[in-house]
Formats: sequence, C-alpha cells, structure tokens
Amino acid sequence: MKNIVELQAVSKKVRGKYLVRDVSIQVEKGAICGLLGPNGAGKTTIIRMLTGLIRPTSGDIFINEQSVVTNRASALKNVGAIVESPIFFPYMTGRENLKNLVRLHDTIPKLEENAKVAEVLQISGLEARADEKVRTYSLGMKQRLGIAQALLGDPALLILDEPANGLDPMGMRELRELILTLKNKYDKTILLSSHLLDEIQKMCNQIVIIREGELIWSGELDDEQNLEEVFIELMSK
Amino acid sequence: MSKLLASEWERLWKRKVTWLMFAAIPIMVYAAAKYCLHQNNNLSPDLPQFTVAGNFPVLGLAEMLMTAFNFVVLVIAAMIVTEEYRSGQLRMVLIRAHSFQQIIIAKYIVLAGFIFLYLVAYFISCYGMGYALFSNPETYPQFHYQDHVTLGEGFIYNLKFYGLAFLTLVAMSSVVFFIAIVSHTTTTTLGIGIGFLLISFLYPNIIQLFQQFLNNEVVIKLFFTSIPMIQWEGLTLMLAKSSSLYGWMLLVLSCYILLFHLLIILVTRRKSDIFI
Repeated sequence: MKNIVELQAVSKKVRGKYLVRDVSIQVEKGAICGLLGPNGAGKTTIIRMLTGLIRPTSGDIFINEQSVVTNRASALKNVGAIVESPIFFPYMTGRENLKNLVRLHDTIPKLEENAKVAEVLQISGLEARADEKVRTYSLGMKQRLGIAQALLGDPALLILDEPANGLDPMGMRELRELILTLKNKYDKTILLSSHLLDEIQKMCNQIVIIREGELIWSGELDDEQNLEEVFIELMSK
Repeated sequence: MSKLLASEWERLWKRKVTWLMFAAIPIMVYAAAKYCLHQNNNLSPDLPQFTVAGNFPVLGLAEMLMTAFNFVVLVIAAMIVTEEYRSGQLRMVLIRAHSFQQIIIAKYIVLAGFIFLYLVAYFISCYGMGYALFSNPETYPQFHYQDHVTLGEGFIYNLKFYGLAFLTLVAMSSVVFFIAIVSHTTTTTLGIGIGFLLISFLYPNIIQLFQQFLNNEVVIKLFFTSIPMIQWEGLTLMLAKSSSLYGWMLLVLSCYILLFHLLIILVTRRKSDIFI
C-alpha cells in the first residue's frame, strides 16, 4: 500500500544536542499509527517537523510525496494537526474560531465555509456547545475542537499530538471512538503520539516506538501481543 | 495572503479591547477639547494656539498623538503579536501552510489599517466636537503661516497633518512590532515599549541642555530624531510654508521604518527554525 508519510533519516539538533537522530518512518495510507515513547523521547519534535513548525537539521519528510522541507505549503495542504495542547483564541466561540481558521484554506470557496464549519462540528460532536466562548470549554471539548479544526481542509492525514492528555476515562473513550470513526467512515490516515500504551493498543494498527530521539521499534502487533510488555522489554534493553 | 489578512482583521475586531479603544475616542476628544477651552482663556485669538472649530482637529490631536495614540499602537501590537505568538495560538495558523514572516506581514498591515481607521474616527469626532464647543471664524491663524487660512485651506492642512501623523504611527508600529516579536510576555512588550517612549521623550530635552556647546542646527536635528518629538512639534514644522526640516523628519521616519523592518526580517527568518 502507498505510504502517505515518509521520514527519511531525519535528525534535529539544537545547541549541539540531538533531539531526534536518524529516524526513518513510513505510514501507510489508511493506517492509524501510534508514535510511542516516554516523556522527552522526541515525539513532539517529530510532530513539529512533520507539521513544518521546525526544520529538520538533516534528512527529509514527505507527505503525499511532497517534501515538507522544500515544498512546505503543498505538503501541508494534505495535513490537519493538533500540536501539543489545542490552543484557541479564547475570546471567540468554538464556531467563530473555526470560521476564522477555515478562511485560511485556499481550497474552500467562501460560500462553502459555513457549511464546512457545520460539518466538522457535527463530526466532532460539538454542535451543541459551538456558540459558547472557548474559554468555557473543558479540556475534552478543546480536544474535540482541535480535531474539528484539523478536519477543516479535508486533509488526508491527521496528526494528533497527545490527544488523550488530561482526559478522564469517559473523555478518552469518546475520543477513541471519534478517531476510529474518522478512519473507518471518513477514510483518514491518522498519526498520533501518546505515552498511554492501552489507548495506542486499542486504536492503532501500526506502532512506532521512540527512545531518546532514536527509533527503536516499528511495526504491527499480533492480537496476542501485549503492547505494554513489548514496550517495557524494549525500554529495559 | 488576502485570506490571511481577512482572518487577522476579523480576529482583531473580535476582541473587546479593540472596541473599547474605539469607544474611548469621544472621551479622548472631549478631554482634548476641555484642555483647549481652558488654554483659550489665557490666549489671544490672534495666536495659532487659540483653538477654533477649524484648527481643533490638529490641536486636539497634538498631545494625544504622542501619548494615547502611541499607547494604542503598543497595546494592539502586544495583543496580536506577543500574546498570540507566545501563547501558542499562532500554531493554528502556522500549520496551515503560512510562514511566520507572512503572518507578521499580515499583522503589520492589519495594525496599519486599524491606525488609519482610528485616525479617521478621531478626525471626524474632532470636527463634530470642534463645531459644538468652539467658535467658528471664517479665517484663523495657522502655525508657521504668515496669513490667516480659510476653513477650506484649514481642512486641507488638517488632512495633511493627519497623513503625516499616520506616517509617524507607522514608524512607531515598526519599532513596537520588533519589541513585540522578541518579547516573551505582553508585560515585557508593554514595559519595553513604554521605556522606548520615555527615552524618546527624555533624550531630546537632555540634548537641549547642551545647546550652548553645539551648533543650533545640529541640536534641532537631534531633537527631531525622536518620534514623539516629531509628533509633538515636528508635524507643524513639516507643514510650514517654507520648511527646511521636512526632508530631515521624513528621512528620520523612513530610517525607523526601514531599520526596524530589517530587524523584523532578520528575527523572523531565524525564528522559522526554532521552537514555536
């Protein structure tokens, strides 16, 4: 199957220290790929490079065969993302935030902007609270709004950085269902980072494990394999 | 770029502070009018400082320009640059294929647009308040003009004054934008910005203390290297019928704009490769 994401020997060095070193990852179209690693492993750095927020020191990153390094604008047209916590403009409502952001997509005609916002609000299950100020939202609602904004440009790839962070068990379950719906019903490829092993095992069909900026394992798990055991074994090596 | 501009413009007007600043215009104009009315009690109507309806838009702006207007520019820059950038709100825009430089350019244009509207609203309010509170002679004296000016000539003069005031605020925006980009908090932006204004008020006065040791022309030129001083006294000199300082002050304002734009370009280029 065709790869939608391809990291080729990517490294990021800041002030003489490698945050990410020589990482190569491929994510197949239609997969839910879990980027796993302890805190400080380099997950967010990889996601920042994937979303063009920082440039790799060496190597290249391709999204739908477009280089993020040399052709950032074209490559990012296929991407919707939440990087770190979803931060919005708190003085606007959820709907106003989305309306403000939808304008930045060249591919959506002005007349269709409102319909697009309504559609992503419906997908993310936020319709009922869409006209309340974001500052009144719970973290779970902000995560949903984050996913809604990521869906605005109808991207083939969704990149979600620690989407379950801070959520209660109910919120985590709702988020998991939403992510699975996005894959199964809307045909999205999803790359998500997390340190929650159970969540990754329940959602992902491809797993990448990072430690101290280096790729230590990549692949799929059998039904009998337990991610926690695999992870602990890899970390103790 | 047009979509980015529209998005930035919309966000600016979604803030309560923006509307409060506009709502403050009649209060500012009224305060300026009260001050001018008080000054009129001690002035002869033959003096250009004597306020009438025709010259109130200029006399009512002079002091407000170097204080309130500069502060408005500072607050807006702190809100739309430092706050959005440092809180991480800009990430939502950055991951939509816009570079940091493009966003900063859009924000700068939005601020210039806001200043323009603010000056237009202030100009109209001044004319309204001027006709309501001051006498309306058909001719009146004008700064650095030998003859009195008619209401029509005065209106053109006022328009030129506001045009130059806009230019000084654009120069001020360049300085403040640079401060807003490099500052880590809005408090730092406001603090450094106010510091810049205070130094700009102070050093021209200190230079004047050395007037006896320096060439008079040098002192005047150094005095008008300060944006607030250009706003306070320089604009009327620039509009004098025979002004030798017009070119100098235009050069100073251009230098502020060019120098700080250059610094902004250097900083934003560097920031494209560090953590946002």
